[in-house]
Amino acid sequence: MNTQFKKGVLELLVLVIVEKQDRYGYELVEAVSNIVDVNEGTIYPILKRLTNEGYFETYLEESKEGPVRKYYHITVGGKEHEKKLLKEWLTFSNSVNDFIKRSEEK
Amino acid sequence: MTKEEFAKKLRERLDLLEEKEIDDIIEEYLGYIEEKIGNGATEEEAIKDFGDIDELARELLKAYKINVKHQPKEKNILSTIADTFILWMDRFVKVFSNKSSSEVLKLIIEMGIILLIISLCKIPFYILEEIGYDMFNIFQSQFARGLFKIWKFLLELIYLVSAVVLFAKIFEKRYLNHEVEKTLPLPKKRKETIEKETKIEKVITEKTPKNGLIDLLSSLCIWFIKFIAFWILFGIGCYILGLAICVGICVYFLIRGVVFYGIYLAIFMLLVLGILAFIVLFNFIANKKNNLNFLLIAFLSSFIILGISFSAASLEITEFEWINETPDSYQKETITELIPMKDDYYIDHFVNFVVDESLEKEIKFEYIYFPEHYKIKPNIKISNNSIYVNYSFMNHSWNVRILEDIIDNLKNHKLYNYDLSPRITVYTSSANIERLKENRRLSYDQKKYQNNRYRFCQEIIYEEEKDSELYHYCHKFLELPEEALEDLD
Repeated sequence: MNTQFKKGVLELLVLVIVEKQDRYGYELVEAVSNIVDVNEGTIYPILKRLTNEGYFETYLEESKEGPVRKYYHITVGGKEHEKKLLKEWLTFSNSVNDFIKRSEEK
Repeated sequence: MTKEEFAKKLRERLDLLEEKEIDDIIEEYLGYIEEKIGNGATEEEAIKDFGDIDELARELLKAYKINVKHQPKEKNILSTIADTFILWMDRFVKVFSNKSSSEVLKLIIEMGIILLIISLCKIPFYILEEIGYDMFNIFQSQFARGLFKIWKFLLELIYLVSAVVLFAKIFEKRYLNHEVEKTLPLPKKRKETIEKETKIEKVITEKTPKNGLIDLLSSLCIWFIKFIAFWILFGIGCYILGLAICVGICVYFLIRGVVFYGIYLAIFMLLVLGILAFIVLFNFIANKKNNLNFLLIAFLSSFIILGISFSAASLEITEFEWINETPDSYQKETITELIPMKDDYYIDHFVNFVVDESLEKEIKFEYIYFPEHYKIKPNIKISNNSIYVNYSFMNHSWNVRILEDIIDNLKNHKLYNYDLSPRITVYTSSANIERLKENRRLSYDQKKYQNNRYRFCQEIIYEEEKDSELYHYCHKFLELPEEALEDLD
């Protein structure tokens, strides 16, 4: 799959997933992989950036399997950012889809 | 590659970051590897899935490079200001280069209007300055003058800062609506949209003090303006209270049959306008939205009805007869007191003198009062040659009759002077009157008038001859206009 497509939409996917439910790193990567095939290494930089910008908060929690996990939780600012990105994505993808449809009808 | 090798290589490439951050990242990745192993993969496989380490490190560093720009340390307020300023210049230039000449002209005119309005807003500051001047002037000392200078300076400063910030904010909101790139201003815009929604935004503003200085200043200005608005609100509240009482009285009169629709309606509309103004101001202070349509209609219709009621009221008022006396039906009684005249006597306060040449050696004090409502007992005090014409009330029972009379007279469009206080007149010979006045002038040197110069001068202006020295002195003291010299009777 074209890496350029993936790169653009990764942040949006991460935001949407975490907004529904708090996730820890591995869990999140799994969830994203179900949607698009990604290099796991590229998720963490995105998580780091979103946390630094204040869109995510982290907290630690014990797990049944033993190790302490770092969970990511979306903040109010993060939700706003997500809404904004969603809107941009929908507008963008709809325009592209419409254009393609029209081109194909010729 | 083993975990440890992976960690070591990654650590080398992330050297630029803070130790704490590197540890954090490494920990995450190791934890991730553990999970994968727990799910059946080998160490080799787990690490391979990360791809090229160099690429990984580059991505991670990118995440931090942007953020280092986003979080200048608090000490760098100056660099924040500089950054913001440069950004502003940037957007400013963009705005102008994108527009046609007519649009630019329109822009300039709008800016001019905004500046005009802002300079009009200086008026309350001037008023405050005046109040401060009067207040500090009471003390008449160098120290107070110094305080006033500080007060004035503070006002100027607050006004200047508020004006600049206000202008900047208006400009930004109105003209700079471009797509915001991911640079410095992003957090600030985000903050503005959240501001009205939740209380949790306080957490965010504390975590992102990026444009702290400007936002601090603007919230300071808003607080100051709200402070003033609150006192205006208080004044309006008192106004509403007073008018409400008047409306109550009008309703009572209406019930009793005194019908002046114009006047009542006018008072009622004044009350309504007061309430509307109160609502608008209150919403402003409490950050609530104003329903502009409703308010516009309400104000407009109130003004129209007010205008109509004013004209009706003025018609009704012209039908009135104002009689500057108590109604004839009121009983009057007279009590007189006689005291022998002494050469050194003077009357300490203003009284009505009437010449009666038959009283060469005596002074007659005449009290006229209204026995239906109260009784009085004359009480003339003399101490140190100073006569004080007093009286005391006995049997103080105000009759409800007054109210009934007022109502009846109003129905007949007559308005009397219902002042029922006792009238005092002093009768004596003209020589005695001169004597009394002369003695009083002599007594002016006494200390007791030092503190009461103002009241003293008011009495002089009322009593004395216009060409006397004392009169001129008091005229100057009270700072009366020159024409008053001619008009005063």
